[in-house]
Amino acid sequence: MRTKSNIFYQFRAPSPRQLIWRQFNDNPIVVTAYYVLAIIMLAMLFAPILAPYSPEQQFNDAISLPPAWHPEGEMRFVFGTDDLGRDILSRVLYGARYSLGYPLLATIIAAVIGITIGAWAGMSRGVQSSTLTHFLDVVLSIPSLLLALVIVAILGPTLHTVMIAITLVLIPQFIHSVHNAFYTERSKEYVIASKLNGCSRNYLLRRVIFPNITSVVVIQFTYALSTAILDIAALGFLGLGVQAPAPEWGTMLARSMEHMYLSPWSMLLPGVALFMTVLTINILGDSLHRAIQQQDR
Amino acid sequence: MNNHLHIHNLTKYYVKQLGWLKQQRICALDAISFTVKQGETIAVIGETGSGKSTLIKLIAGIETPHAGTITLNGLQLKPYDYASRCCHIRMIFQDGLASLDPQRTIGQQLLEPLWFNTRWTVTEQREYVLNTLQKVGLLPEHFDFYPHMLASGQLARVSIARAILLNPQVIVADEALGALDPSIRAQIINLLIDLKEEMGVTLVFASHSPEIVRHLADKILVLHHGKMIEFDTTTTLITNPQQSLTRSLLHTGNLTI
Amino acid sequence: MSIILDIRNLTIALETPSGLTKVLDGFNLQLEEGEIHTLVGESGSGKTLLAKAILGFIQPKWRITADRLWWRQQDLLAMDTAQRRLITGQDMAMIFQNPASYLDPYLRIGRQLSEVIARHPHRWRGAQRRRQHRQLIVELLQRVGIDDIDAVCNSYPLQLSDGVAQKISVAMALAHRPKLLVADEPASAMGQYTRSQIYEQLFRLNTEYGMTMLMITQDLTTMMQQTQRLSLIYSGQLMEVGPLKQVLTEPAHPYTDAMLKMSFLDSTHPPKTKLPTLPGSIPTSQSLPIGCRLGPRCPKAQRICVQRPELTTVQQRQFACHFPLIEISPHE
Repeated sequence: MRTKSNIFYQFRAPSPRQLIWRQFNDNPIVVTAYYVLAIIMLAMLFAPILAPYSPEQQFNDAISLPPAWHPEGEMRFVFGTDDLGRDILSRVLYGARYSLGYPLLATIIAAVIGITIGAWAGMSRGVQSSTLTHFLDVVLSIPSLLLALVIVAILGPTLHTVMIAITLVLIPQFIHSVHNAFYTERSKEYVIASKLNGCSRNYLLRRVIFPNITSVVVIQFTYALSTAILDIAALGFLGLGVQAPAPEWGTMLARSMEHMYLSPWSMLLPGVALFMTVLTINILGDSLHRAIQQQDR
Repeated sequence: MNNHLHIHNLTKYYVKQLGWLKQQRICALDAISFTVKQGETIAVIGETGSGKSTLIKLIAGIETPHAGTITLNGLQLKPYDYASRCCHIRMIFQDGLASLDPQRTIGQQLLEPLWFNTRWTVTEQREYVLNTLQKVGLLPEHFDFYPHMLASGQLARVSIARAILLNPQVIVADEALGALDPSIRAQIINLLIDLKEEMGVTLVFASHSPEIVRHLADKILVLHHGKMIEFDTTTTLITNPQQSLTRSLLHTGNLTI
Repeated sequence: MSIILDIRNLTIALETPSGLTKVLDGFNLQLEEGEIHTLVGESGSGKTLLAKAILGFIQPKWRITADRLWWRQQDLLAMDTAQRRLITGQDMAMIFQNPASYLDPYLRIGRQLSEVIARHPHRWRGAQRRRQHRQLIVELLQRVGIDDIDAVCNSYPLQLSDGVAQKISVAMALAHRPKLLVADEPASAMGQYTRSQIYEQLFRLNTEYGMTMLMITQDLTTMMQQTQRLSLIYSGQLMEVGPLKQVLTEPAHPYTDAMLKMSFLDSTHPPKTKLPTLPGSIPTSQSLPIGCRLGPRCPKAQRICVQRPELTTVQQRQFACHFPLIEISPHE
């Protein structure tokens, strides 16, 4: 902008979203996190192309093979194989669908339901509003993993029930934060001004208030996503989540625990993948939060 | 047009919760009645907490009265009926920045009342907004600006633009001038005088600056603890106030140069 | 009269992403002991920054340079933080615009006042200490015009009205008998009645203790009968300084003239007529004009105004303008 010697240059303040984006771009760690997450996402989407083998293909000649840089390793299996002779890299790549894809899906569903109910509660007053929010306070008071465990215990450990459990667990958080955001935003002067303009309720909700609480929603979304990832992995680790042959990262970790001394590498890659995913999502969420806060000041 | 804006027995109280079941009613406005003729400028004065803001908010429709009616040209204005009220009564907000949505441009926000209250085409609406921007002394370029890009004086102008968009009969303002810098305030006062001349609009405003009240108002309404203690023409109240409070509120602390 | 605070050519620049911005540009101020000096400036004129620089509330992003920033012949800029703090603590006090925001919301008023008094030079112990503190608090509050002392001491800041809260802050400022009191729009957010009460309290401090006062305000209409001298500052530049009467009766600077007319002080102006104004708006800190910053809005501006005018001294008055409204005799 300024470096281009434009003689018609005039200082123009950027829009609120540009400001957040700039702030975001200033921090190299955040930018790194952003790219790492993007790479993980792409790996998840293009796993069939990127993965050298099928996740369930067993190589009887290569059982518990160490990674390629180890003297006993083979170039075929870059990160080694597990005790059944399956390529760990392929399994982790495919596993991203279970460990990142499904949580993402669950979070999106939870967000849609939660935001709808939260907005409804936020726009209503009195008994209706408090019923909607305080009813769910009970749910909020139980740790999400425990609640998911209860639901899985009742419905049985399959992929579907885990998804239902995670989604149900996340909904109250969304309702709560969206309701609170709506509640504070509703009494602000610009909303009153719009109301006095004779706007319809629907317009007020969608075009006036909602754009101003996107920050809250985005932050809540990142937190919910990392919770969902950890919960699914934890359920898998406990053997209550996605069932055995599926290459879910938590399940893989649980399996590799048995052979920790013999083949420690088998827990390396899924562990690192899980760690990186949650870390990048948390960094992004945190920095987004900070960027928005700084802009508010 | 004798009874242009008629306010009858307007009452508002706030409920303060004391403990579990005890409640205390705090009276903000106590049975206020007065009549305003078309084109008049009414100043509402009083100490902090005397209910000036409440009165302005009730007329604007932000809050609903517990008793009493507001009648405009023989038509009673119902609470919560923003759609019909906003064509007749509009408000100039005090804080330009807080009363504008930070996420939308000035133009988008000025189009809003037209979108809901007229049947014009999009181009007509846009044209009208651009005209109004010019009327309040802003440039057409400001249409695409976000609120935080504007200075305080420009924001005040946007607030006024929003108030006059629908050609209302009554404009109310709550301390809209008090917080502005003197050089900006003078500009805005001039703008209001111009607009009043042009549109013949009735203006009801609250202020704690005696200078502005003396300069703008035809009549002054003095509030004290929610009660109307005086309501008369400006000259009468300045020369011959009945209450000592009126005198002290209108006293300008002027320097004898 | 001795000069208690001497500021020459003070410049405060802020580090912003687009480089240094001189928010206060070459400011001069001489405060005489025991005077009330009013500093008038619109928003963005750097008046609050000046107050903070005098008291030493300095942010790391500020670049402060001055030919002189002297407090009773001591150079404030040469001191380290501890010395500076000592001087500020002993000799200066400040009253802010919004009193409720700098009283601790979780402590009762009485407790906060005794905290201030705790640094009193006397060394009492135990019950006597408590009694003496109580005594001092009562004295202080009576002096600022609070009758209901018990009720006020037992309440939290949020329970007080703005007027009372401001009186408390006056009392706090008074506790150490400072030599200089800086009041930054102490009553601008309050109603007419409370405002005059606060000003009366402040002026009484001046008459009773000879406290030097720097009153900072946004417009000329606030009570000024007591003021001896007046400074006008616009966008970080000093426009005019002089004794109140002289400045008001025959302003030298076009800005002063405009401010007077805009502030309804010109009683010849009939109601309902348009006021004379300065065109345009106050420049933002990103787009400060070069030279005299009033330039783009000034009715008398000419080409030479892109150069910064020198501060001209005529008898007791000073002003910075190329085209002053008063005659300057050439031999002066």
